[in-house]
Amino acid sequence: MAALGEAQSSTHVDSMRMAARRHIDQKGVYAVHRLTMQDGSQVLEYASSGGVVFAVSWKTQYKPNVAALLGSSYPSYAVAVRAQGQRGGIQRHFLHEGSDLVVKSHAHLNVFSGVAYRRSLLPAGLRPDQIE
Amino acid sequence: MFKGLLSILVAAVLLLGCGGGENSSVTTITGGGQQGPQAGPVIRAAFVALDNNLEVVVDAGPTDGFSLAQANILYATVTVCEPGSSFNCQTIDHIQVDTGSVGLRVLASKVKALNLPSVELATDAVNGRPIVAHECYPFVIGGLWGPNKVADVGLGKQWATRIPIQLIQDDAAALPAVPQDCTDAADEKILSSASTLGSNGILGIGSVTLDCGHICVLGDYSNSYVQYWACPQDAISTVNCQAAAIPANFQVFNPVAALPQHNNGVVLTLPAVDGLGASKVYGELIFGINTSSSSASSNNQLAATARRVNLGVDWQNNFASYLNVTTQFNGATIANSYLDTGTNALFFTDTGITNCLGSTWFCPKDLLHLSAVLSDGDNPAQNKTTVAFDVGNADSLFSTTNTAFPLLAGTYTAAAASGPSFSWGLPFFYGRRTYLSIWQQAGAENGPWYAF
Repeated sequence: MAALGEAQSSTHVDSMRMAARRHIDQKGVYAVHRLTMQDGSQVLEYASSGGVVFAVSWKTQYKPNVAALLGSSYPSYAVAVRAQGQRGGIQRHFLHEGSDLVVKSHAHLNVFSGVAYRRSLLPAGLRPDQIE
Repeated sequence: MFKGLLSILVAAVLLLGCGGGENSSVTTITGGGQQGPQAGPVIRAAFVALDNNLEVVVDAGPTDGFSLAQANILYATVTVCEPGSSFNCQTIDHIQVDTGSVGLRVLASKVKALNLPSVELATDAVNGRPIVAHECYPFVIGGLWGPNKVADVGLGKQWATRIPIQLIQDDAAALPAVPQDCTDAADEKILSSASTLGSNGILGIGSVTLDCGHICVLGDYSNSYVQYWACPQDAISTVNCQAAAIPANFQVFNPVAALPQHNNGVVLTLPAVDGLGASKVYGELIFGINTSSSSASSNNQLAATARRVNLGVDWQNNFASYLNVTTQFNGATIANSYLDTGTNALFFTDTGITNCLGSTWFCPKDLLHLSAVLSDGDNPAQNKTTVAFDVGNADSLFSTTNTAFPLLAGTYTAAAASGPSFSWGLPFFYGRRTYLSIWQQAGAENGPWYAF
């Protein structure tokens, strides 16, 4: 599926698979593919002019399939989660700032939000905080 | 009645000599480190069990939750019964009180003596046996797996009858095994013991009534992990389980919203705690807001002096404020803000405060006196209310053997798609009477709110 580090064309496959509305915003050196689900939940896929998805973000009323969104980057996310160790109690936010992969996520009352990007794929001049 | 109760509480506090209430002083322990770990006071005001209340406690957690240092986890004791029975019941201590989730989830081993009926979704066309619900409940990291059951849930003298709950499967040999999809949903961290949970279960009493909602009603998990599964009764393999559409009234339900009368929210009162904290703190969780009418019930009238802020409800246009309020802090307006008993500290971003070595906790040299302004979610200009709070040195706090830390705070590490967040965890609730309503219940028809 369309995932971090993969080709932009796969975002079309996404909208079919998820029965989502797709809206594309051209932002100069990159494009934002906004997939809106039936319940208004959104997944945004950021594709460079070279056609590679360099960031994904989500604002959903459920936990999105992080493995599918991160694609080939998922194993390094899984390693980061394991490295965090076990802690008691409930966790509501998570941060992984790797040398390449960055994942930030949050959940409260079944509202999930997050962003993941790969530093090496960011278009020149784009700051990570411009990814919404 | 209210005055009478209050004077009993004050008298008890004076007798105990250890404080509680907003204006009383509490034994403060200073220093620490040189002469070994120190223990703060046990703070317990007189508790009178009435029709609609429950004593709650912040302590070291369940006895079999060994090894983890607990900080600011609020627990209640909950009774689970077979529907309609007042004998076939189990009383379970150390269930975490969580206003950031919805539904009762208890370790399966704690109710193994009971024969709780399954949540039946359908009947197998071939053999006529029931198809029953299992659930994979995800957190931001980690998740819970286990069957859904129907139970009568006792919260003090209040009973939520015949509500769906989740058992947290803590028998590794139990079948059906955890589906791979659920292992993925839990980031390979299935929480299935008192030690991994820090509790014997979770009492989710947040601002809404359902634990999933739309996608589960439709059974559309195309962008998510499967939350509800339909498995044949006594399935031995998850191969036989399928992703399930599950009507709202079969989903795990907010137990407070299911109470017959005091069902529109809760009032949480925790005593003030000073300095390096307390080894144990008792408080009162009252069911209902403005529902008590006689001395048989604990007073839950919204005080005239209480300040109310409304949670945002405009999901389509105002995502970051959805089920959140607004916090203004250090000149920033932070939409993604909420009060949460399930978060064990205050989490926010302030690059001016030093972090502890090797962690994201705050470690200021001196105690910090700070303040922020809370206001409505969808209309941040409305209902502005100033909240003062203090931040202490987490290394000093953790050098004690305490479990209740009013000064515990850390960096909110995940400024994500919805922008920065300000999580007002358990320290917010010490020394306050906090009202948390439930959306679509009486008094919160148009949206949930907090008052304090």
